[in-house]
Amino acid sequence: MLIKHSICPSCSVGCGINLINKNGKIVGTYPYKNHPINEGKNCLRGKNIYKIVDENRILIPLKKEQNKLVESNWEDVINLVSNEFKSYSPEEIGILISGTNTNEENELISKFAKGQKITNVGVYADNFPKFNKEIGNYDDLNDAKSILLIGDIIKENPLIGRRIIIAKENGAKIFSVDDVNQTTTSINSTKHFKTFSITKFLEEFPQEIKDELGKSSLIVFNKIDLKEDFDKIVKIAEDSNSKILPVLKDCNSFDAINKVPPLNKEEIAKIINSVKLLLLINIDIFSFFDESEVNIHIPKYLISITHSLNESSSVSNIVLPSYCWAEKSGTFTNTAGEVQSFDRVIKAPENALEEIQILKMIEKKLKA
Amino acid sequence: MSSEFLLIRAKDELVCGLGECGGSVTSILQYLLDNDIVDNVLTIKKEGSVYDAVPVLISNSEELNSTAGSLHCAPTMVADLIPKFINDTKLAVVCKPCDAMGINELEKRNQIDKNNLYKIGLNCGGTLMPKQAKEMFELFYEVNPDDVIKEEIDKGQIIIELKDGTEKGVKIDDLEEKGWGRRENCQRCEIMIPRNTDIVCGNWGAEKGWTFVEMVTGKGKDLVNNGIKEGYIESKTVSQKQIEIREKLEGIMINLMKKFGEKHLIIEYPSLEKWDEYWNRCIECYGCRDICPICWCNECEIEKNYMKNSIELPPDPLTFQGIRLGHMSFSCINCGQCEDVCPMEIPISRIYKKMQRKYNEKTEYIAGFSDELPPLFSSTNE
Ligand SMILES: Cc1cc2nc3c(=O)[nH]c(=O)nc-3n(C[C@H](O)[C@H](O)[C@H](O)COP(=O)(O)OP(=O)(O)OC[C@H]3O[C@@H](n4cnc5c(N)ncnc54)[C@H](O)[C@@H]3O)c2cc1C
Ligand code: SF4
Ligand code: SF4
Ligand code: SF4
Ligand code: SF4
Repeated sequence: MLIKHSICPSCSVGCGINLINKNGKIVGTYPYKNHPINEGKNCLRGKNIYKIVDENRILIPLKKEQNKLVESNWEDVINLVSNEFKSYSPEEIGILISGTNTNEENELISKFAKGQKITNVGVYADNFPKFNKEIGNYDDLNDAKSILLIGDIIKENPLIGRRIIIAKENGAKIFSVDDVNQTTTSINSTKHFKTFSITKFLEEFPQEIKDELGKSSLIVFNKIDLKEDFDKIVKIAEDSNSKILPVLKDCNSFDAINKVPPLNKEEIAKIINSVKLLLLINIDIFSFFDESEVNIHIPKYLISITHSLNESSSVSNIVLPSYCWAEKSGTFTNTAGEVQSFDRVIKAPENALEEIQILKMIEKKLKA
Repeated sequence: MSSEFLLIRAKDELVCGLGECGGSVTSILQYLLDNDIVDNVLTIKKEGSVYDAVPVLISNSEELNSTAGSLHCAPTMVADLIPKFINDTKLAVVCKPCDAMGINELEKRNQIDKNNLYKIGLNCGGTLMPKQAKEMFELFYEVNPDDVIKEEIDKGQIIIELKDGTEKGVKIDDLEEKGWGRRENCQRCEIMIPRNTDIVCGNWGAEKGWTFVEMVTGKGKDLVNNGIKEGYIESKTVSQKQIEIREKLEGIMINLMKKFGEKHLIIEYPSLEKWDEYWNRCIECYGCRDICPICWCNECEIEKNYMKNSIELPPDPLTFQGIRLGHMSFSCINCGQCEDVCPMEIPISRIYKKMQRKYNEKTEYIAGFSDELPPLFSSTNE
């Protein structure tokens, strides 16, 4: 049994978590009490996150033959991938990623795309745009006088939720907004506003909240309807001298949206529908699309770099098995903009390769 | 069997210097590993700073030096790690009273085999939460917390030693009056000397550089005597006066802790309205259950009956905590782990400890100490 520090990759808060390694397998978690963000506290998702290491794990490169994924080897699949890359023009190729890749991976992905002159690149980021605004930090929350919450922050990002509870115990006023009547956040706020549209709510921003927002206030939001909503929130914050804290989707969305364009569903769909070759890096496009909602057509050739078999990888032409976060060292930038490094806790399966290595192999082959 | 006392310290000068009070614990562990009496040692190890520690399992006695010393900002719990991850080995475990009580409850639930285990107890006056400790050192000691290289609790003070060799102390009472100091559970923890182990080590009653050891069991007496015989530790006899000093300190501490117990569990116990507010924020993460060293049902009924419809709002505290209260509150050892990990700042252990107190008043069942589970519960939980 060996217990080691890590960072929870399950949401963008960036909590510390200790992983218990027994005989090369992660068998549980243990509180990381010295971590400044969460002091040993984790939510249910965080505590269970270690299970993703073995879930639907892909152990060997796969390629599609007669409509079925069959086992292959690295040489073979890298050859196939590079041949496909060579047979399309850059406009016909797309790269989509999630916000779960490390800073180092994002850097390389962006360089790779530029090198190949591929412009159809992006990270799925809900409706969050790239921004260049000063943001509040978690400690600001503890001492805030008033907080506006957009989305069910307490339930979905509990270790930010905790700070809100602390603020409330210290006498802060908590306002919440959502498109449902009751949420964990709403039942813990001073006043809840139900709205059909967050955009509309921001446009007709209640005077009642405006009156309470000031220098030690924060607007914390994990959902918006439109990219433009972001600027509306920024405007409200600027007018009231308060701070914003956008809570992004994934553990490293903060870095990803600064290295590749952040895309919402429609923009993702546009890329999917316009390219012939699509490379997916640790992203399952079907996890946020349901086909009835947006009409998407799977491109002619789909390549997945991922550690687990999901809906996207199961329809891919090539599946390249990569490392899980616990198997590599790197850095994530949390939603408050803090860069945190984490170390490898266990060894990856024998036939998996680290994302960086996979991209470098493809790059090398393309140069040859 | 009545206890015997000795003053001991490591014979090896290096270990003696590394240890908190003469390195006796470390050298006894070395003796156990070197002589294949145990396969592994379970204790805790510093990670970078005095505020950070993780449990470690050690099989090579040379690695033990890195674990010497007491860490007061490391509120760890190791009891449940044994049945979960280490059950297949002959083990020695270093335990604070809460660790030792957890082990005792698990032994009674047939989750730990007594015969495969050496329990090396430590006296304990309390631990601090790392972040709180750092803020406190900044605020009350006016030092950079990163400069702190050692901390101890002695003579009613929390004393820190800085990089440059200076020492600073502040009275625990003064700190705790203002809401700082030791964890709330430690403030009311009534067990200072865990006599449910084989030997108990501490500095009370000992002169500087030595450990006062109380050998509780026959196994413990053999262990210390063989450690001396094999040249790992040296010993001195204990004077009557030293025994009295230690008893007196223990008595003073227990009285103080009882006062805290009254304060937390009676005088300042949250009102029903406050509990309603607490339950409203419960996110049903089961953190409190999962971390509790005593919660040990193979197929937890909370999961079975409750998880399915846990999306209800507001959360239903009676069903969820109720099952746990019925299953284990009589065994609550007041370790505070549940409260430490609660993301929603719910003082959850107060309920369990309060129930345990009531149960104890009625039945005299002492959680973590009594030899047998109360008859009603002895078979229901496995
Ligand atoms: C938090 C704490 C509070 C204490 N309070 C008192 C007290 O009030 N009165 C008293 O007489 N004695 C107290 N002690 C015991 C005392 O400090 C020494 O640990 C004891 O005398 C043994 O000294 P040593 O040199 O033989 O131990 P060492 O050879 O230094 O070995 C110490 C062992 O304790 C382990 N350890 C260190 N910190 C912890 C921890 N937080 N939890 C679990 N294991 C740990 C180490 O890993 C190591 O194995 C306390 C110890 C701790 C850890
Ligand atoms: S709040 Fe987010 S980062 Fe923290 S434990 Fe939960 S999922 Fe992990
Ligand atoms: S609960 Fe008791 S034994 Fe455990 S760390 Fe606190 S004071 Fe020590
Ligand atoms: S209920 Fe809480 S305080 Fe009591 S034994 Fe369990 S974790 Fe420890
Ligand atoms: S740890 Fe706290 S929030 Fe989680 S289930 Fe227990 S009481 Fe509820």
